[in-house]
Amino acid sequence: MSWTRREFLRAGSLTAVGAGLTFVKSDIFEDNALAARVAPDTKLIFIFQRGGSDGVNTVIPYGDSEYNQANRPTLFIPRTSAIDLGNDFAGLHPRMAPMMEIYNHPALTGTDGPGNLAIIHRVGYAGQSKSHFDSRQYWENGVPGDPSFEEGMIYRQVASTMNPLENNLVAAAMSNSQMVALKGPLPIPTIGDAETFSFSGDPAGSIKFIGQSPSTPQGTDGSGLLGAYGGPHDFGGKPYRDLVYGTGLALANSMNIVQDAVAQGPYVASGGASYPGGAFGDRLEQIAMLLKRTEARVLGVNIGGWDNHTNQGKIYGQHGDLLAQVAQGFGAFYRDLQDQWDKLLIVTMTEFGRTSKENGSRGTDHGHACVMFVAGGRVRGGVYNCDASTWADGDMFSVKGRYVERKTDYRAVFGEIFTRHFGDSEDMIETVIPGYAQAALDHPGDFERLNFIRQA
Amino acid sequence: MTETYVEACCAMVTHKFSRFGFLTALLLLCLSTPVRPAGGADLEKAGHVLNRIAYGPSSADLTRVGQIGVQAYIAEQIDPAGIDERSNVRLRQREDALFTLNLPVRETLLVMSGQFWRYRKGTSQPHPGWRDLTFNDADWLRGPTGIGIGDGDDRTVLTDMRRINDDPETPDNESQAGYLSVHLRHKFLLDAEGLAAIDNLILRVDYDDGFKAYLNGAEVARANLPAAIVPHDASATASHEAGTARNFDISDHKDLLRTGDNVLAIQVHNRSITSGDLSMIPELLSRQILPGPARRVIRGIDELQQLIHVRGVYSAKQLQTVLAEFWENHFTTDYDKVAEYLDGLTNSDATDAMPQSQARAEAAQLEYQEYQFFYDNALGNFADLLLYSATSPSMLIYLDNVLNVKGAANENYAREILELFAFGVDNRYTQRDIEQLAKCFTGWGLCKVPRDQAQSFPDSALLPPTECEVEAEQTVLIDLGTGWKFFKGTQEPTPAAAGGPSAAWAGSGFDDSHWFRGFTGIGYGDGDDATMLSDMRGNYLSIYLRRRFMIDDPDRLENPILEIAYDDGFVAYLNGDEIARSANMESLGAPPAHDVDATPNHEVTASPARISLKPFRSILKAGENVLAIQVHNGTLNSSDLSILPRLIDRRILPGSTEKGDLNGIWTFGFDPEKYDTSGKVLFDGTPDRIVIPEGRGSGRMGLTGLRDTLDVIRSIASHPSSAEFICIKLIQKFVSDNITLATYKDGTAPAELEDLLTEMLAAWNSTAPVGNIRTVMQAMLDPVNQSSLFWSETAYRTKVKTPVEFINSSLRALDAGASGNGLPGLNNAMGMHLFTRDDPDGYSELGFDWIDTASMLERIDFVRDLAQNRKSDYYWDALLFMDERNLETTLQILAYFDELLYQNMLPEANRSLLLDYLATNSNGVPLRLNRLNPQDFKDRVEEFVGLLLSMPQWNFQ
Repeated sequence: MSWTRREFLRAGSLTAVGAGLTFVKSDIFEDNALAARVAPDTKLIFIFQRGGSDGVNTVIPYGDSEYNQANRPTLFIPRTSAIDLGNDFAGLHPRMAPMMEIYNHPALTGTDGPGNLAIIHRVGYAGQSKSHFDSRQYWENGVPGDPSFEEGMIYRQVASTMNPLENNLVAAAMSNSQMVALKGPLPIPTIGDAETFSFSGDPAGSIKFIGQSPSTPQGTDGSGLLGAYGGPHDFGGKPYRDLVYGTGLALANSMNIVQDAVAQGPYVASGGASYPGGAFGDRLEQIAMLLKRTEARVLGVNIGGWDNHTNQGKIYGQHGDLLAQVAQGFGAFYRDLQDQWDKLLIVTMTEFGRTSKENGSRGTDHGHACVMFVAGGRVRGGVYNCDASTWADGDMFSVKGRYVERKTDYRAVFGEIFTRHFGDSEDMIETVIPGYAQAALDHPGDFERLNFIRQA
Repeated sequence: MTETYVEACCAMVTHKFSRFGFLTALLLLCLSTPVRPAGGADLEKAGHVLNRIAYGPSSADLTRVGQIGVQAYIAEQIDPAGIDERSNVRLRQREDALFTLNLPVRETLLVMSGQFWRYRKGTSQPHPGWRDLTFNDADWLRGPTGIGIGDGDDRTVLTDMRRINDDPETPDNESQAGYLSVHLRHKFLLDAEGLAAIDNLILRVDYDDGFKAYLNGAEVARANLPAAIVPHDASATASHEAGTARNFDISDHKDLLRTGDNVLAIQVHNRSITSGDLSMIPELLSRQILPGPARRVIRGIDELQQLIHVRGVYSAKQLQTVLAEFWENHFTTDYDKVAEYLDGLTNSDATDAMPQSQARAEAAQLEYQEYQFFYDNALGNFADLLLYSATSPSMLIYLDNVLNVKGAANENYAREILELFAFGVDNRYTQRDIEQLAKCFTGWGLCKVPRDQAQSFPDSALLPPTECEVEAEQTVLIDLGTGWKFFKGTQEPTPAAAGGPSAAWAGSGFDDSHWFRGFTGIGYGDGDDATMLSDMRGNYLSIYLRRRFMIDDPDRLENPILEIAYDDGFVAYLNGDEIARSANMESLGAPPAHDVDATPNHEVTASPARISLKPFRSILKAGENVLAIQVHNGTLNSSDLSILPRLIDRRILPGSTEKGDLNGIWTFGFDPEKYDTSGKVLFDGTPDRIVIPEGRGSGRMGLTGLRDTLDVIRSIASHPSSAEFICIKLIQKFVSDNITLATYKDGTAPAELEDLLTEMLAAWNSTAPVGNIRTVMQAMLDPVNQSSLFWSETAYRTKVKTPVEFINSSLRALDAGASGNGLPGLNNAMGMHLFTRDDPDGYSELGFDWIDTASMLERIDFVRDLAQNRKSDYYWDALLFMDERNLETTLQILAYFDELLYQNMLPEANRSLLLDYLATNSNGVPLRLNRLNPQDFKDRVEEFVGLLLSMPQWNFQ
């Protein structure tokens, strides 16, 4: 933990930290008037695949002759089993078929469809960590190399542009435990289950308990729980006071909003959408419910189980089952959220890919770059970074003969999301992704514009 | 003012802590003054020590610290051997309830899953005597268990069981009426010796949805069906999903058994006639209790999780308990993965090693052994803790060292021992070190040994067994080679009347004289076949094989096993009954037609599939028998197909311990054959470089190779990176979490914490071997001078409680009663389910990982449930608590808790808020608190304590 660092960044988010830095005109900033054209209520769903997914068996580089049975004795998926993505190079894992309803487009697959799914292969960052914990931290805090930095990249987008103090449910992690991506000085709600997000016991008995907020911030005229958490901070100079007091307030306030939404009755998905079963699918359905019934704009969710060191399985099995859940989730969102599809963006992330060669236990070990899926009404569909023009034969082993080398930095993907989907200016990007400009200077190739989102 | 004065005048001091009492009294006198009362150094220190080296203050412990002083209390805690807990009844009773005695036993399956049963579909009422031994069931259907439909858990699939009448997908099936029940019978033989050996009789049933079981005509068990006679068209009274077999102890009915023939009869009913699933997989188990000492084992994983709380709340050895939890979490392993691994094991005779219930019990005990070692050695040497963890069966399973063998390394443990258990991430090691270290751990694995051969640490790590294979002698009944007849699957070998497939070709009476002769392996491609089918590719998908063989006496076979290497799929039959099929032939019909393909592909490997024929012994006949196999290709144009079957009988030699042995103990085992003897270099280019020369020629093979790796672990434990990482984690746990390995390394950690670390590193290095935890804790806690950073403002009230700390401290604050039940679920809800964490990094010691709205909701709900006695699993007696302490007025009650929990430092704003709360009724209207109205007094005190423990401050320690 680095308090000085955090304080610095917090200050930065209020005062635009760029003053002392020289900016290069990065590709995504060709149009500073963008913000004016982006809708004010665009929304984001992000899915974190915890454990490190095997990107090579997710979007399969059939154009690379190293993708073969010898390198992957029990994991090899024959090309005939995979789904053709129409670029004569890549195949999609067969269990991800529900994604195709979003991907399909006459120009891509010859099949009618919106062409709203971008499949971005080989995303990583320079100095790839193969530690789950550090690499997750970097993906979530937006600062590779600083594992102690406990403030989320998406949090900064929310805190800087969406006023979470005014709307206590503008963003939330649908999770039993908080997501670092949404962690920061202003507590963003973490909701394990919207249905039960209320104090136990008789609601009438909770009225006195919840009490009243003080008339002024940290005033002494409140009562009950709100009076305590909204009152003066005991040992106010010590660590975590803002966090604990703020979380108590965020809990009581967001609870109201969530319960009002739940009270509207059982949620029925539209458009024949079918969410996957289990805890993950339930959370996706609650995300859709909150997007429709509240002012929530940014919602995150985890799906675990990707650390397949053993018995990974190819089509069926651990990995395939997880891919199927993610794909079914995308398909359900597409159908269910048609009314806001143009304002919505769904993105996946995972801490790293895996070894290109199967290990001795029918699994794979920690690797480098992996795949991101991005869907939404203004997404320009297609396969990025996995085609004959960018992928040379043997690139499967382009790092140390073991892993797939990155082609794009994850911060470039999020940079494009923050600018084109949320309308961030370049100053704002440096606040949301500290060190963006310098990283783009150091590794220009990793920050080349992909243009997977159409200009507003 | 004296203590006597306070007790006499204010009637409230119970801590016998004169200076605290004085302060409390002062506080009462000064309530009108709007300033924070002075904390009082001794009270502040006492509260701080209990918040950190204990799970928070209880009135008894605060009193004790008041009596003996913090220095003596720390001395006592840091050397806990002197604390006598024999008279701690609350602890002992609750702890004892978590354990059970495990007697040595021998189990025999009288009826096993997969055996053939007679069954009758419940389309009408069966004959009233259907469950009697004498009933003639020759005209009933016949098939192996599981019997049922849906979920993929049945070998005999009743496709017509479900009523389909309005399914738009299959309009043609509208007439399928379905039925609600199935009746089953299975006869088994018992001799006088077997009958005498039955101490316990267990019916183990995996079922969906309801059933009644009868032994020789009398009911012995039922579930989801009423006691009265249940007709064939009755529904089960509730749903139940199969997947985990349930044990019914029917020992009371063992007198129903007799020598000779016996019959187990079962009726199984569905919850609804349109339900898509039903299942019945019964086993009958005889358990004989053997002479020998009993073993004390944890009852299960829930009970182990409860143990953390029972000790944490009630034990006087608080620091030892806190540290045990710290080490358990540091060297984390996942019970679920261990149980799943054990459940998947196979005995050497190809039978399933153990049922799920045994796997779970063994996994829980392995987790308990780990935790107990960490408890016993909580203040011992780090090298011992690390070596124990590395060789602990749970860890060997959890991080895949059991799979790490020469030529097929698995880096999982090698990475984590450096990153998570010893050095800390990227702290003086490289990816190359991980790869080298993974080679060091090849050959490491598990061994199950008889109880009397299980060694205790350190011998268990230093002198592990090296021969873990079960010793057996084999009799080959059918070898590869001659004697086979085969038929090319260009058409059905024996078409059924309607033209479909039948299995008549596989029966013993079938005339195969017109079939080809051949030698096994039979097939083409890959060069593994003695009989080449050069015309198969592109022309036909399957072949059919038969082999006659003689057996003198089937009852003398011990463990008949079919070994079969195949490409791509097969179905095997014994005397016409299907006994096995490959996974890629599932749901292709019984028997599959000649032109179906087996997907996905399967290749012949060095280790063939092994199928125990124990369940089918009754099918074997004295004299001539027939083994028949149909083999299918994956595609018509496949480049290869092969079948290489053998039939053997395996006799396990005395002295061997099977993996499923109920009386065996799991230990670390080392297999020299799987150890990679190539040269290894670790930490190259550093002062701590380690070179292990190649094994060949230097003698570094076998046990020498193991000793090399044990030396590497010792080197890791004494490496400066380990000292840094472990001392930083101890600082995070006990002093302040404002330092991490990363901030220490990049120089951004606060200087005062770096100074503390320097002192602790000196203590770490001051002993031989280095890393004595008691010495390091002594340096950190500095009990004599009380001038280390532990005693500073930097440490005081700066740590956020973890869920375990929050729960235990809440229970201690109220002298609450808790069995431990219900607490593991709370931990889970708050995000800290010990023993089942998936990720190997353990739960965080850092405050910001524990505070979010979801977990705060759980915390608040818990303390309100506790304070208001809304759950039976944890409770306190508010009236007794108040009366024992002579607390009657709002001021007395508030002052008491302010002193106990907050060292008399609640700010005025909070005090008045809490007093307002206590001084008003449930509608917020002021109403005097009156002990003479016990119900109202109790209700309001309970609600008040609910708010008191929901305060922001209670999240800190």
